[in-house]
Formats: sequence, C-alpha cells, structure tokens
Amino acid sequence: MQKIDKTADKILSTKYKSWLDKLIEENTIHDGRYCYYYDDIVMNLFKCQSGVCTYTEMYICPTELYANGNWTKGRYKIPDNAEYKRIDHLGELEHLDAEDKKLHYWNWDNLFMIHAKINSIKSDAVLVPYLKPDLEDYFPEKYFDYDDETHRFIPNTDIEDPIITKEIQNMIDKVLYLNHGVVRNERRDYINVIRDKRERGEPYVIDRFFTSIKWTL
Amino acid sequence: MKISKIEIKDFHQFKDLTIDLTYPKGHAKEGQPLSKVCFIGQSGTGKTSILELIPKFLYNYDTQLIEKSNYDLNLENIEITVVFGNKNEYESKIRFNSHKGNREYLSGWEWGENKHANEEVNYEIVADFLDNKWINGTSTKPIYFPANLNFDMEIKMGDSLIDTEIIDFSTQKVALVWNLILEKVKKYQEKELQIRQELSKIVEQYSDNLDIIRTELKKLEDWKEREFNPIKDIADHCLDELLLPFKLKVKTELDIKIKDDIGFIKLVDVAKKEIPDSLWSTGTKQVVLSAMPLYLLKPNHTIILFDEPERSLYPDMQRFIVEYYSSFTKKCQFIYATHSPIIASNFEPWEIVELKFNEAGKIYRELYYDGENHINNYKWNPRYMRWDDILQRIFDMESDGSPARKQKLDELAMNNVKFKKLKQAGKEDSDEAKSILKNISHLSKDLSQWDLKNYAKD
Repeated sequence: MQKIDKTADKILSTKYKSWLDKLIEENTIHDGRYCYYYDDIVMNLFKCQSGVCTYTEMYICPTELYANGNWTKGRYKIPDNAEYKRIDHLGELEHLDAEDKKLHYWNWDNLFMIHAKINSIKSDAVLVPYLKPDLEDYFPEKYFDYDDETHRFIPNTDIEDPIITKEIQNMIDKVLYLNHGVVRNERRDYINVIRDKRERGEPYVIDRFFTSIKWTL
Repeated sequence: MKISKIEIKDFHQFKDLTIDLTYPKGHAKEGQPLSKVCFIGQSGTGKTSILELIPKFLYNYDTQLIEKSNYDLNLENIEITVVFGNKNEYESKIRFNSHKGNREYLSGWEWGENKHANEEVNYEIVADFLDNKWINGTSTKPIYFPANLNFDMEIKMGDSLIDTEIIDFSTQKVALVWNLILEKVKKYQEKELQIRQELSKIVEQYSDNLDIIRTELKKLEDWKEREFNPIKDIADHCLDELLLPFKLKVKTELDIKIKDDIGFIKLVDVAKKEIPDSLWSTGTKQVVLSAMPLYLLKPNHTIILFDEPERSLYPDMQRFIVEYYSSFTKKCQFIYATHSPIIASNFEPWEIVELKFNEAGKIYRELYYDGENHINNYKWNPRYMRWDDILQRIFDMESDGSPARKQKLDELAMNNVKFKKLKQAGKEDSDEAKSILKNISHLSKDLSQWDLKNYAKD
C-alpha cells in the first residue's frame, strides 16, 4: 500500500473543498444523500492515488479520467463525447473510519478509492489507524516486507512486537487483500513483464503495484 | 420457448434485479435468447428459487418447493419475458397480478405486452399460436432436474410419467422414462428369443450339418444388424461414452433366463458381469438418470432446468457433461445452477449469471464487462481459463489452496525475506542464515515447489 499525498495543494476540486471547509467550520453533520460533488471527489482521489486501488495498487482508473484538463473553475466535468465515461473505472469510495462516515460522509481525509471487488469481499472490516496511507509517518517499508519469490506481502520482519506483527498480517489478509490470489497473480505477472523489459533494455512505464515494484527492481 | 429476461422488483432477497439472458452486442446472435445459462453464487443467493419460479411463470406449474411455500409467495413483483416460435418471433411478458384486470388469464396469471415480429399484438394471437401450434406441436415439455434426483430404479411395466405441464423430476422418479421404450425393448427381446429358440431346435436337429447351422446363425446375425435394438441404441448414442470412466457398459446382450423381468437398464463391467442396480455408484446413477431422459424425451424448443449437474461427478466428467447434454436436444435453452468451477468453464462469460449479496443482504448480478454490454468488453472468459483462475476470479476464492497452504506460503515468504536481509548484511554464512535456508528447503518441499521462483518467472 503506497503512501498517498492528499494535502491541500493536490486538490483540484476546489469548489468541493470550499463546501467541505464550510461544513467543518459550522460543524455540520452530512450523510451520503447529497451527491453533488461525487465525481469531484472520486476523480480527485484517483489523481492523488495515480489511478490505483489504495490497498492493492491494482490499476482501476484510466489516466484520461483524472487528467488536469477535466477540471474547470474548481469543478470536475468531462465532455459527453469523451472516450471514457465518468463510470469507466473499477473503484468504490472507501471510508476508513466507520464512525466518521456516519457523521461526515464527504470528509476528504477519510476517503479513498479502492477496487470494488476488494470492497465487496472485505465487507465492514476496518484498517488499523496507523496504516492510514496519507499519514505523515506512514511509509510502506515501515510495516511491510515483500518477498519477490512467492510474491507475497508480509509484516516487516524487523518488527519485534508479535502483537503488531499479527495485526499487520491480519490487515494484509482481511482488509488490504494484498495476497489475494488474483491480486498476487496480477502483481507477479506485472513485475515479471517489467523485469523482462528492463533486461532487454526496452522502455517501460510503471503505472501500478508501485510498492512491490520499488522493492523488487 | 426461451427466457430472454427476468425482472424482480421485490421478492425475498431480490430487490430491483434485472437479468438479461440475451446474447450481447457484437455476437452473431445479438439480442436472441441464450442457448444456455449458468447461475452461480453463494448458497442462499436464490439460484434454485429462480429455477423453480420458471415453471410457475411459464406454465403456472408448482414444483415441490413452490408448492410448499405457496402461502408465502408474493409473485406480483416478478416479470419473466419469454420468446417462442421457430425464429423467436413471438414475445410475451409473464406476470401474476393480485388484482384482476381486463387481460387476466387464469386467476391473475397474465401474458402481457405480447409481440409478433416486434409488433404489439393481442393476447389472442399469441395464445392461438401457443396452444395450437407451439406447445402442442413443435415445443416439447420443459424438464426440471433438481439437485437431489430420485435414484429409485424400481419401476413396473405400465408405470409412466405423470402427464403434467412440465416433466418434473422433483416429484417423479427419473427411471420412469425407461417405460417410454420398454415396449420396444420387450418386443425386440421376444423376437430375439424366438429366433434363438428356433436356432436351438435346428442345432439339435442338424447337429452334424455345419452348413445348415452356419446359415441359421447368419440369419440371426443379419436380423440383429437389420433390426433396431433400442438398448444398443441407448448404449451407442447415449450411455456407453459416459460410462467409460466407470469401466462399465450398457448390457445389450439378451439374458434368456430373465426375459420376463426386463426391469431397468442393465450395466456390465469389463468382464461383462452384470452389476446389480443396488451396487451402482451414485456417480453412475447420476449420469444414467440425467442423460437417459434427455436422450429418450428428445427435447425440442423447450427449457431444461438443471440444478447442480456436478452432483457425484468426478471433475473429468464435469468438463464435458454440459456439451454432452446439449447434444441430445434441439433448439433448447438449458438453465443450470452450479457451485462447480469446472461446470462454469463450459460457458461463455455472457452465459454466466453470478448472483451476489450486497451490503444490505440483497442480491445483485455481478457484471463481467466494463462499459457497454459488448463481447469485446468482457474481462475474462471461463472457457479459456485455468480451473484455479476460475475459482479465484469468478468464484472469488481468496487463496489458491487450503488455509494450511496459505500459512506455509506466509512462512516461506518470511524466511525468504529474512535470508535476503541477512545476505545484504553480509551474514549469509551465519548459523541463523543456515537455519533459515533449512526452513526454506522444508517449506519448499511441503509446497510441492511449484509456486517458487521458477514458477513465478514463467
């Protein structure tokens, strides 16, 4: 799970941000019924996440959908005749803090995009707070290791506290689904393709599985 | 008759579910009803319920499950669209109304929005075609194979399938189909017996004249070649191929001693020794009692509902059973419900209806395409996938083996990482590193080595 930068200067959906700031200032409770800024949030999240699932880093959104040109005067809008439609992605909104979701549904800090299938199988399991990927002191290397033979993520073997190790293993298995069969196979295949291209000296672009690629190449 | 769409607004765990059962854009049969459909999904997602609702809507026929739950049924929120005719030129939307309207047909059972060649027509036109040309002419009765087929093979001469709207094997013995050809079998065997008895007399009378005996024997052989043998026909065209993996065959030779007790079909082993019915394996019963009705009933332009066709079948047989069943039918629509990835591998992605629970516990259909429903937009095709891939992508299995295997893989990954860290620190010759290498070797052996470095680079 890569580190994600969602700081203010990454927000192109400024109209949404102003609206949210006002809600926060007035301490207003908001739920999911008001969907006016839905696309603004989703596409800006994809921009911050480089189009991949927050947890698995699988590619779930084409770059065309979150290109800078899709924002005008702080609002997200793509032309009706664009090649990709606004729903042409595989992501779903994930609220990391379930309690915050009840009171502040559209809270930017609590929102991430994850693969719809992962969202479906993880059900209501929640991420431990210290693994929130936009925290200042979150770095994947701090909590995880990657074995490029089995292509599995494991808790960092340098962590001495067995309770923390067990907790991270549980996150890998039951929330992040980093070693889910399909995720693992796609990651392994992708890494092998990049490796082969490097060996042959061919050009390549890395657009997914950033964390494992960084550790294996 | 074929189903092109099922719409359920509200019915138990179903809410606002629409199941399109037509070929997608880009397919040669675009818009036509699917020839075969495969429902998959966790237990409780309603696969069997949908199968059993189909006879209720199409023929107002209650299967056992529907009959038992009749008082709880609330069918007003379901609509099933059917097409029929040699070119699927007729279409109707079938529903049950709680109130009685003008177009009422049989106590709230209504065939509405009737069309012929895409033009709206009166129900009378559709009904006339259905009653006088289709159901009593071209189209044979639908057949329902429930998951728990009745394996009882005790049948009496004269017993026959009960004449109901559909052939429902949830209420009737499958073995009863045998009586469809029993008369023919009996006549054939009586004739053969008669010829053999005549032959015996001649052999006795002319025991020293080989030419006469040979001539009479030739007559018997010629007769057998000429005469249609219903049992040999079933053996050659239906059952022997299926029975091959069990090292069994249909017994086609006459057993004179038991001529009055033809009973059910007989099977013999490789040594031609008869295997009593009671000793047939459940797999043998399953293939005989599912394939034979399709062969004997010769379904035509109808719907065949099949719950859990994989029951008692070894995986190798599941690979081809779907195509095998189809080969006995003409222009039919098979609707299967299964838990087997191997059965699912017989289907194109648009033929699979995967039912899943959403967060609210309601059922939705997982779509396998992105954007428009076009053959080019489907993400995967079970027909070309490996079994483990089908299990993981289609059936959402998280891992590629048991929980014990997953634990071993985690251990192996941990040991690999630990060893690499020691190596980076220049400690690969330390006792700790040696111990880790030993663990890796053991774990690799336990895991059959297939998932290790060499495999990963394939």
